[in-house]
Amino acid sequence: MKRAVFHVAEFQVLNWKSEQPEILRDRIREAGIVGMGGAGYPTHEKIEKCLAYDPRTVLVNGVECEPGVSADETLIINYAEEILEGCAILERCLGTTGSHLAVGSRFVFNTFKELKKANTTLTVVEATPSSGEERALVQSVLGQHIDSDEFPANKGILVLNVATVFAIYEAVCKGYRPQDRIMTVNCIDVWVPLEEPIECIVGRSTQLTAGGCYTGRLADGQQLTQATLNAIESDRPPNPSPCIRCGWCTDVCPLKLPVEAIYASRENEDQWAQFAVDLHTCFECGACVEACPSQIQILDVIRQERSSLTHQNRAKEHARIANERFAERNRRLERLANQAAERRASREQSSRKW
Amino acid sequence: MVKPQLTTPQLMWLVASSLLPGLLVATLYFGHTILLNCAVAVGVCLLADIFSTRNPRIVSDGSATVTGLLIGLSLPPSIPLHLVALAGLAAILLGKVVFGGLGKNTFNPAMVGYALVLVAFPEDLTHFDATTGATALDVLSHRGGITVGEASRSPAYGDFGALGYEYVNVAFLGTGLFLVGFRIIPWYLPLGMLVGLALPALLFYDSGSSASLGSPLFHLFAGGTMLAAFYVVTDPVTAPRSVGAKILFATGIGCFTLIIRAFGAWPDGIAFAVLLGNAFVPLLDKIPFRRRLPTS
Amino acid sequence: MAVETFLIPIGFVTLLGFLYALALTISQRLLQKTSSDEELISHIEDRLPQLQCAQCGFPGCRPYAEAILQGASTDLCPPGGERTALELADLMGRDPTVPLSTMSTTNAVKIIESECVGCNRCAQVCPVDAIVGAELFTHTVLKKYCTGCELCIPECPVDCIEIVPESATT
Repeated sequence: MKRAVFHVAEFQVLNWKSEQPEILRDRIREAGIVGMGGAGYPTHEKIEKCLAYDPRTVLVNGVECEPGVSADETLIINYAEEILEGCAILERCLGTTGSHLAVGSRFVFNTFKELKKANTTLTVVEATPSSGEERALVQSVLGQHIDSDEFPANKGILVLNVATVFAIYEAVCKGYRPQDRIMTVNCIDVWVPLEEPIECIVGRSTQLTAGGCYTGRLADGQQLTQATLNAIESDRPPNPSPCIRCGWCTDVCPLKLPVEAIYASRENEDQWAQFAVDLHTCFECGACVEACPSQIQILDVIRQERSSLTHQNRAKEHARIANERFAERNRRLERLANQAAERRASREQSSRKW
Repeated sequence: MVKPQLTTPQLMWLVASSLLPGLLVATLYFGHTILLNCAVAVGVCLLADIFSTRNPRIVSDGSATVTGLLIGLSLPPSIPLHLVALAGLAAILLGKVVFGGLGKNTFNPAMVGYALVLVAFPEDLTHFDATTGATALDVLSHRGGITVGEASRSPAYGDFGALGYEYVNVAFLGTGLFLVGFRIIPWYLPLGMLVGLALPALLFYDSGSSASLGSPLFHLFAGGTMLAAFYVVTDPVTAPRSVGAKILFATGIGCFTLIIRAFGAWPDGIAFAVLLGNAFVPLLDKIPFRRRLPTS
Repeated sequence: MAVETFLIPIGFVTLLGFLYALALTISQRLLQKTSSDEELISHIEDRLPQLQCAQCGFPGCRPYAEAILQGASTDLCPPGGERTALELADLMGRDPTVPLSTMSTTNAVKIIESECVGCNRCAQVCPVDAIVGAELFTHTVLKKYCTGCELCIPECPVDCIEIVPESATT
């Protein structure tokens, strides 16, 4: 595949088999590699967090969750050897032996079969809208349950996206800084330069979507491409039909959130509070958007409600603190006034005595 | 669970076209007047929808067509056409538009239209069939002191249900099962309604004394039972949210139907039963049927 | 048909309507009596932005809430703006009026420290003690606690306090 950017080696090429793990970790930090699956968490911090606990294994996430997005799959098929080498680098960083690679289809699985690398275990995970979420992936690949308020890194499991692993490989073995990534641009996988306005890649449109057609957000053309972005669409489904309360969104939600009820309360601020926990539990897999027969962008509503709820809560907390401090100040002023009055009284008394 | 990837308009048109076999059977038994009724009802519903929204493309969403077909199928065949038109107008304007359009209505539009005509013009509806006199439900309801066995020898009775209506009901059962099979409608709504109707009927069935309510089989295949169970109760807009509430809702409508059929002044109580059920929806939605959270 | 056929139902329904309206009015009056002044004040206070800016002319939000109950206008709160005024009018059952001036409640202020002369006047007026500093020394604003009431700005003799818009504070 043709790369989008002509790469120049910015760092010295390292022979990872003989280098110390610390030097490899430093390289990952210097190259500025962040998680390319979506959250954009700095990878070196994740590794350090993992090391702080008992490092157990590396889990590489190559499961594509959204229909119509195939960037990771294309990357795996075209750069299988590089990714396996990246896995080996990470194993050395953590000081573990063995890693896991989860892929979303049998087809991708077969590409690896011929390579026969001993240390990396391959698993095929059925690609559903939620199977690529890291906790669900750890559950299905390693059989370990992780609570929704914990991270896999706390259990010594380093979960990284394949694109991140590829970037690590390039940073270590080629000395490159990540400057491009594979994105699904209108259903075609291409290398796309990073930090480039979206409209320079897909052209001008009022319906630009950053992300896949289900989980993506309406984007401004001036918005820059980022390492965490895996797809760009130049249009969204036009004119959704009204919600007919069919409840399919609730049926498909992997977290069993009352999606339809949340959507129905979208114009009623008083009702948001009861869904506060649900809104914060949602990890935006987009299953509801996919299921909706009326093609409503439910995720947009959820994101918007979540942000206004957070805003409201913050304002309320701020008001509470202000109120407390105001009361405290009034008490202090009163105390000072009392003390002054006492002093004056005692002075008057003593002067009279004198 | 694999769901067909259909858009809302496609769903509506699928439901509308699945009503056609039943319409065909009804035409065979009751003559071409029912076709005319359906055509008038659909036409009036579409026009009312277009005029109220001022958007001719609203026709493409199919919901007014389904409403019109339901009205045409549930009204008696020999009813004057201006009453069909009135039912269609009331369905769209009073049943849907005043609530804010598709997806916001509390009551099933078709049943609103039907009930309005039923209440306002009872003479025209109960004295409809010139050839067979009254329907079987009418005979059962107003039979006086005779037993069910004697009543069932009336020419209004068919092989196992009400004459004509039994095969229309079979047709709707067939197409309804097709919709359930393709997961367009959930299975528990029609089942709940049918159980809610047949179970009390079975409990109170004393093999046909003069005070009997009629056999469960008769009730299942009389009037608009199957049409209501598969096409009216399953309307997602006017059904409650959670599965538990939906089952309560459907069985409630079944029970109401039986009660109105047995004791009410009107021969077929389905429309009122559905409207009553719809009125309970906001209440049913308040019942906290806790969803199972993924075990943590 | 006789005229009575129409008149009797019309009269009956009208009578029923009057009876219901009477019952509703009485019950509303009774219900209103039961909520105490204390509860009402806290209801009003909940709707105020809690900036304690005293721009309404009362020393803080709670005194203003008490004053509203005594009959003060509901449109005196500039930080609350139109929304608060309308909410308060709705709560008190008064005619909705809109405040003459409004201001954002989410701003904060900042002292340009190189220009501060250490007069301590700003710290004395700050209703939430968000300005710290000793006399003749540089003062600073605790951004976390600043409510953006802007009371300190007119006090400053050297105009070294500036408003930081919300986007810059978060």
